Amino acid sequence: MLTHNVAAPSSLCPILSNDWHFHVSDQLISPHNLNPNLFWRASRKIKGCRLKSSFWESIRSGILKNNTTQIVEPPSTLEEEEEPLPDEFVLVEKSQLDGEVEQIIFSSGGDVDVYELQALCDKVGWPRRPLSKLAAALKNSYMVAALHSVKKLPGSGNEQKRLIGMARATSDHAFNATIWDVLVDPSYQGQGLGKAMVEKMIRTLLQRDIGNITLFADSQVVEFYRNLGFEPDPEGIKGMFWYPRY
Amino acid sequence: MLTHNVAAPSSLCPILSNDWHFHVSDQLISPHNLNPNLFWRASRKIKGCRLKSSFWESIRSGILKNNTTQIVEPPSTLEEEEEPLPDEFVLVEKSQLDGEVEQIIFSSGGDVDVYELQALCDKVGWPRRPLSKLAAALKNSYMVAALHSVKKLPGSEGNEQKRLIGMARATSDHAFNATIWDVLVDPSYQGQGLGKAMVEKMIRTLLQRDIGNITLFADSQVVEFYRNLGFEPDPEGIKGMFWYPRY
Repeated sequence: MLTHNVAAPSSLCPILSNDWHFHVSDQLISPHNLNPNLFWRASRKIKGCRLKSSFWESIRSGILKNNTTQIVEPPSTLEEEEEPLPDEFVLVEKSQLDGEVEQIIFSSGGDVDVYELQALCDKVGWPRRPLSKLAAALKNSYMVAALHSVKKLPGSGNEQKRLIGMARATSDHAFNATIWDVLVDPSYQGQGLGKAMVEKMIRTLLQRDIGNITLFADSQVVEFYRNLGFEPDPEGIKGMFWYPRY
Repeated sequence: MLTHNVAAPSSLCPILSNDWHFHVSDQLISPHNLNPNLFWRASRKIKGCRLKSSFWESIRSGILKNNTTQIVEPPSTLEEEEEPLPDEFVLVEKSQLDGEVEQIIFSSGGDVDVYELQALCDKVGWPRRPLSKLAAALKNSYMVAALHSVKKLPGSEGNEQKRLIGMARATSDHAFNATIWDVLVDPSYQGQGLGKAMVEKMIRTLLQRDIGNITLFADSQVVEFYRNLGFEPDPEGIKGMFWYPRY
């Protein structure tokens, strides 16, 4: 199907060269086992990650600003084809001076609490929407991706888990997908987390052979998505809204 | 929610004035009973239809070109709120000189045969897509609207010829957003307002289900078609974007 260079944010590999490329399997991959309650304390190694170096650089430089950040180890073996990424894995791990460890965890299993989501939407300044409709939208989305922050003090076993990002996509499960509602907690913006979340969604959609990935971008974020590989109005195709309300 | 003027192609009412308007109920209406095998021989009357006259005129003038076309009767009562439209009804009925009657039937129950759809896509010149994916796309669309032509000779023992002549579908999160995909009408039936009627009906059904954000991606040559249906490109600078589009 497509041969593209796509980043693998799940595995931060500073030593990989620019020659690596990415081949998407033509097979339709059956949905992953969803396990929203499973919590992985250790970071997972992903085999055969291949990177689009320019894209990857932009994420790494964002994440490496804080020099107490722990980089997740790269895999030691190469594989010809991209294996399905797990539904949940650690994107970033940071250690504070007092010993507190914070992990940013990506998940695509849809484990989003609607009350937490409402609070997050408030935090980014979005207009309020009815909780029941939010819940229905989550339930009827083809994919719901989330970012959670998990903080713990070693030796205490106590954890603080918070929703800090979300994105979802609708789809006909065959040809088209449209990404909606991408948001990241303002306290966590500017670190490449939103980029990583969307990039992972794209990769999962491609692995499921859904080749037409679309979205509607507010004017101030068109550049953000352009940097992720999106193009506005290709061949003059216009996104249109029925009697939009301002 | 919205107060808008929207056409009611299900009921052709040449006598209604331009003053009529349309109010959408705020209630979330539960999905209609889907009955894809039910076939209505007679046209249904819809109560309380209200029209956007300019939109309506354009459909009527297309349908009335052939003067043997039978106009479906308008309802006699008015109602304050819009009732849910039935899933299947007759849009147009035409009588030929030899007595053959053709009905164009709209349905939103998803009764589309994937082989017929493939043939229709070929007819309009679209690139071939795998049948299994076409079937999956139909199955996983929130709404699948279709136009069928049904021809019969009165007195011929009810012999009928039913053909798929149009289709449109929409994906949705069932709450906020819907995106319309794959709108097509058999070239032999284009230019009569059938595509407009099909999309207009989809919009109305989506609004009745309280899905307020209705979107689509229009090739440059059909942007005007959708503008005439109430769609606006790039509102407030919002851009439709595609990931690495293949030309």
